[in-house]
Amino acid sequence: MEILSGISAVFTNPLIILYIATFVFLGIYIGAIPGLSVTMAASLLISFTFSWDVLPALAAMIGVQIGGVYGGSRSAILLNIPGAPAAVATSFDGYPLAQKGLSGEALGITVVQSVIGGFIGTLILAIGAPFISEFALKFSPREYFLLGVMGLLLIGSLGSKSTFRGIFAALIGLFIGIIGLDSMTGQQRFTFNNVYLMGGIHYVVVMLGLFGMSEAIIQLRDLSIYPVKQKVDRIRPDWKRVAKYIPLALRSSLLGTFVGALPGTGGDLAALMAYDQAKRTTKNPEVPFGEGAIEGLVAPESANNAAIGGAYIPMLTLGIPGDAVTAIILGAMLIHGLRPGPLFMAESPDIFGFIVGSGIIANIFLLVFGFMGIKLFARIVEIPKFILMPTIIVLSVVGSYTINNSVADIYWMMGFGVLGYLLKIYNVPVAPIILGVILSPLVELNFRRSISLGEENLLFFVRDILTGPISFVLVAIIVIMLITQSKFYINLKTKRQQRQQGR
Amino acid sequence: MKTRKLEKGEISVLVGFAFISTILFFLSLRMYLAKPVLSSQGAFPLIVTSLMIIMVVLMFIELKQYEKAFDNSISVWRKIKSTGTLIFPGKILHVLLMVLLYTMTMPLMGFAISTFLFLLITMFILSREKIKRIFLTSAGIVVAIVIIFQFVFKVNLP
Repeated sequence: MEILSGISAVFTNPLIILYIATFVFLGIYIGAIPGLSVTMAASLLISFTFSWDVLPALAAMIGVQIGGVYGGSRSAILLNIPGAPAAVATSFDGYPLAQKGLSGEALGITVVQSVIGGFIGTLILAIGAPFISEFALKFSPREYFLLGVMGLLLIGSLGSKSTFRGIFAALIGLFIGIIGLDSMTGQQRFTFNNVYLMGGIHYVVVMLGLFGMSEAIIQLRDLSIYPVKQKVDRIRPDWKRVAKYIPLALRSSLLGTFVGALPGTGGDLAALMAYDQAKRTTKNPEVPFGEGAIEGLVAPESANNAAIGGAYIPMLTLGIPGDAVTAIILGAMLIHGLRPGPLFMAESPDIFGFIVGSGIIANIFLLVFGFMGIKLFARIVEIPKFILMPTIIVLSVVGSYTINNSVADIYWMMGFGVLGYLLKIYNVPVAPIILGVILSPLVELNFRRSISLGEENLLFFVRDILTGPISFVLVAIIVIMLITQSKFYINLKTKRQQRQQGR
Repeated sequence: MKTRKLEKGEISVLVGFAFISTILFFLSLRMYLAKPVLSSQGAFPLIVTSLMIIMVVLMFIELKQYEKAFDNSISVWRKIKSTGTLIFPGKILHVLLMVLLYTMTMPLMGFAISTFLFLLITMFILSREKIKRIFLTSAGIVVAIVIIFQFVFKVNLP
């Protein structure tokens, strides 16, 4: 009942609707500008909205996320530069369509498919989250510890070309989360008696450095890249085609929601998997995949927007974010005194309803704004990097200062900016660091609690894990993940595929 | 099979990771030994830093399969110079210096003036466009930020 009242709170509050509309609109253009990511926008937004009331702040975050994930497809189709990682798969067939002069149609299809995916993701969130939350109430500290480890391993291994680099990045994040006063004993850890370190390093400062400043510096490495634009006058959906591809859209949306719900995955992986699935299952496409197949647009676009709803499921019910953006939104919720986790549905059902309601409204506005503003888009993508990137740096500086009104945080942000820049050059992913910082208290506290319950004995701890049915399943999943990511398994799989192709 | 070439300075970066991870490991060990039980404040950092060292070792092993970035005949000085060019191409170093100066001068000059100067000089360094256009753009951005954040979002500016 309270969930429904939370949903209706969105529909009956014109100010909240205005917030969602504004941020969906902004999200579309942020997502569309190559170099500006949804993650960057969300991390900047968290620093400016933390003094707001919780509902407008959440509405803004959800709006930017839903608009931004779609926005990436505009530049993917028109410029062949995916504005967001989730739009990489969209460019495979979207750009060839634009080259054939069908950019208006391609954009129209992506809008409708994104909205279908968005609605399905939100619907599954609304139905599935209460069940998972009830199940999660059975979790003991050791299961939470294992879930945190699983999330870190997933984002570490899936988001990077090298599993070891991804896991190393997650460990850096865990270590940053340790710095400050120990929450159980109150003792200083790695503070070196520095007063600025006693409260720890705020994760928003880390986010702004790693996603704001470092990304701006990376973009400045090459100022001479200019997008080759395609001409488009009007975005028009071909409704007959939209209807024809509904079954594929539904399949891809379900896949996207499922992939998005796995901790540490996200829209980019969901879109690529849906593209691959569409390629395998479509027998006779009108145009081959990679040359402008409509199926190649439908599958990733419905999947990446469906993944948003999916990513909220583990974040709200287990406190484990599905991807980097939901990690930031989890951070925003913590700032506002909300505690996502198994008790969230019992403690704040109205907020859960509000999130679902905001998702619905945001998708409605996506349908409206998605068909508009193509001329504005053309102007916005023309903003030169030499103006855009220094402005992002200034916004990162302002954002890091506002957290504690401290200049020291600006220096931390700069330090993380330079660190993030170096890590990106050397192919170490930065998203696992953020997840590590946010999950650090959850993983550590539950590890220490379960050790205490096991009478300080590591063998008892291991015994409890192996004899508990839920923890045993989680350990089995972690072991399978480690084996499937190992070089031995990958080599074995490659050899088997080569043998099968040779027959 | 050598699938890619090492980035310039990649090994040095890993050495840096190894060095930092080892220092953190010993600091954690000292913390753990002060109260050597698994639920103490030092146990988790010890596990994390131990895993960091293991990951660095595995990353080193992984690098073995790649082609070297430099020939053995190249002098150390040229290697450093070449790595420096990879990390700080074009005007990146100038921008980083400007960011540092910007942060240092902000408490002295205030947000508006320091931001305006940062934007003006950085944009000029990056583009060499007409100074009048850059001047107006920088001023416009500062005014917009002050209005939006100070008056609309009610955010405290530095």
